[in-house]
Amino acid sequence: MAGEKETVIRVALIGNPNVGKTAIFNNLTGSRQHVGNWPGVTVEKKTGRCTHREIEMEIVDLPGTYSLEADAIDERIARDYIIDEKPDVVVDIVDASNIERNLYLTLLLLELGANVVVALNKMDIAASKNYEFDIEELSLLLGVPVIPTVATTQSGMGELRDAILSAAVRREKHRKVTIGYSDDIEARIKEVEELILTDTYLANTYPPRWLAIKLLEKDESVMDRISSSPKRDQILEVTRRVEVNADTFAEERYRAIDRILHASLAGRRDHALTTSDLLDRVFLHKRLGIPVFLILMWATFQFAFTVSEPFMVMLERVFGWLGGLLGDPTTPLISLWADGICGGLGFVLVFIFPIMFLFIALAILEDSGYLPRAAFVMDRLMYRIGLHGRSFIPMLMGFGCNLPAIMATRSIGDEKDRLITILINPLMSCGARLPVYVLIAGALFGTYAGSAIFSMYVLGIVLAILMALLFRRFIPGLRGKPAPFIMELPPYARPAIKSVLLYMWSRAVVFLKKAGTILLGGALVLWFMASFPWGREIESSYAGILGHTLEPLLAPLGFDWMAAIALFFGFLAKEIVVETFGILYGVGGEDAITGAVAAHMTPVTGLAFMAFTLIYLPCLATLGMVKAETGSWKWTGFMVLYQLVLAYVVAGIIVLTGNLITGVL
Amino acid sequence: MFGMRGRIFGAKKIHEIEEKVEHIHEDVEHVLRSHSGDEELSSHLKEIDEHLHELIADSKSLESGVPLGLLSAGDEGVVLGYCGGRGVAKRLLELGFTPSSRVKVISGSPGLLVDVKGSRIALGRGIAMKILVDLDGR
Repeated sequence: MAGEKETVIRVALIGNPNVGKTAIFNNLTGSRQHVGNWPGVTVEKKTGRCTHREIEMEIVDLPGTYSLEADAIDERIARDYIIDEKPDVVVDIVDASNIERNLYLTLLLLELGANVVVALNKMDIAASKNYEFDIEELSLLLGVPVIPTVATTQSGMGELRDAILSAAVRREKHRKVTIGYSDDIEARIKEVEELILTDTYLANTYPPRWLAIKLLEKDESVMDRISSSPKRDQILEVTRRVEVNADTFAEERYRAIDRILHASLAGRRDHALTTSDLLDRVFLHKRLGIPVFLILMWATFQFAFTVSEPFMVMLERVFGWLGGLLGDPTTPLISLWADGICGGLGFVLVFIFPIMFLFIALAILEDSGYLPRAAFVMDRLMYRIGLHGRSFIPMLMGFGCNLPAIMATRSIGDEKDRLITILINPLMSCGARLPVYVLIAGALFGTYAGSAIFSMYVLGIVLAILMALLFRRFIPGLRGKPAPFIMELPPYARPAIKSVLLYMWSRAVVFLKKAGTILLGGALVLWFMASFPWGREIESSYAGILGHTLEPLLAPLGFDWMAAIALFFGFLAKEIVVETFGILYGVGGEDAITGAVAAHMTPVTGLAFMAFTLIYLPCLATLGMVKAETGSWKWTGFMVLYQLVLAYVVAGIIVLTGNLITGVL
Repeated sequence: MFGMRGRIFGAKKIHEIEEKVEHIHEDVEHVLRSHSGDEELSSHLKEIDEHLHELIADSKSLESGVPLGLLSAGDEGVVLGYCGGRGVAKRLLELGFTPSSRVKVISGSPGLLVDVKGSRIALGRGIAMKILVDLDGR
């Protein structure tokens, strides 16, 4: 287009949770992301670009939301983006197989005056339910383009892109009202709207009709938005006078949807039982629900750790062989290779396998639709400990890694519920702590190693429950009851292999990046501190000096100077605890380290050390995430403090009772 | 259009509301008698009186309602209204639990999985007890 500046069309994707929004986003932008099912997975702001017919589009993936009421964080993000950023086109993704509820959001978007294009997704599932859409009629009644799509097979994507382009071009300033309320309410809306039009700032910033409706609905965040208007008092006065029961709007919107569907959809049957419902009669069963859940969880962990074991042994041998390639570590360079890189970093890299397999299992559970059910099954138990059922998913994820787990707390609507979930999340023993348990329990507990490791997981859960109860009760800002459980359960689905592998890979990349940066750096620093001044005994190396300085602090717990350094650096990443032992004992290969651990610790101090490692601090990255998610140094500081104290107390109790028992025996 | 069907009631007992409404009704009658000449006022008062009676009728229909939480798998009903706070009611309305919509229990206890407007909503027991429904065949 000659003479015209190249413009980028800004497009926002919006829709209810589980409508296939992420899949459409991926189809449009070609970016690689995980297709998830539990609410909150798309809460990060994702943007992508796509070029269609030589026109550039920037696409923002908004969080999944049922309405635009701005109660939960997700909804607030979505709504504020549309109001304040005013994207050129808003693509509303509607689940055709669940259209009645989905159109509610569409109506809200139309009210908001957004330039909407409806993507009628999951047409294949709708067809299997014998739904027959009159697309033209639907589009006419809604007053916006409607494009049938099937995101999983990429069908309809070209048409959708075309529709976005043409919508962007013929953007109208004022859309004509297509969906009206009853005459009585329309009259009241009109009255408020006319008053709003007298304030030019308000009238130019927001769609006046939308503002009038929201005021009549007593929407608090909208009340804030008019607070600086000179007409404020007048507006509020009129709003009070023409008062409408706020719920009437929801009822009338659903009535309007009913009218629209009556004219544009055939084949709708009420309350037909689906296969998903039959499965749910088992998975959500009164007595079977929890046992089925426990079996699935046990299978998940079993799968992750037994399947990965042979791979771990193989990689360990490879590093052992690599470390020995240059001969005995007689010079600094050979020592760096053998003890620092292969003995330290290599030893930690082995744990890529349990991480990969654990996330494969979790991705399968997630994509199949089981995880939201697990939250529901566990809601009653969670309620007893003062938490919401939705807190359960982040807690479960915590066993993998606390970092994404804390990000996943965004799907918890209630701020207090969310804060408590974040505070206790690091007590869920993450994958990075597992190497520490494996090393120490393996060295000290022989055939009981498995039980000792399991006891750490149980200890973490018990402490998390206790802390949740304590926080609810004694911290003023956290008192109250958990929010009630209301959650849509998506139908069960067959997980797509590609999506499962992508998810696993995205987690593995996180670990590999960590290995390439913080773990490698940690290994180098530790190796340097342990080996220099060169030629001296390790006791008088820099590491030895640091360890001996810290030792008095931890001596009451029976930890020696090496354990002190391990814990000190373990704050960077928990895997470094193992890395440290690997380097300090100056040997590669697990068997030799095992002997060294046994020489330095008793079973009692070993158990205390494992408990201390579990509790004392989340890793640096997790702590950064806690700060980001709570937005508060106060809560982050509180977390550090309570965990340090708790770790010391618990380890102390283990040492005291342990010594008592072994003394008696 | 302005029927009071299925509005939200607090913890107040329905017969208490009924008594109060009856009092107001008497007052209205009294004012009507003493200001019989004022057309506008009497038409307003009559309107108020009408609303009040609708309110009583609705209270009675609510009273006949059963908490959704007491239903078991396979049961069906029609939503009458909720007791409880605004926030929860709003959420339920958005998800389709509008008054007079049909709900069917797919799986029962401890919480409920229900079908409403074709989607499956899981409700904790606490919230399920706060939704009042009219059972079929009553």
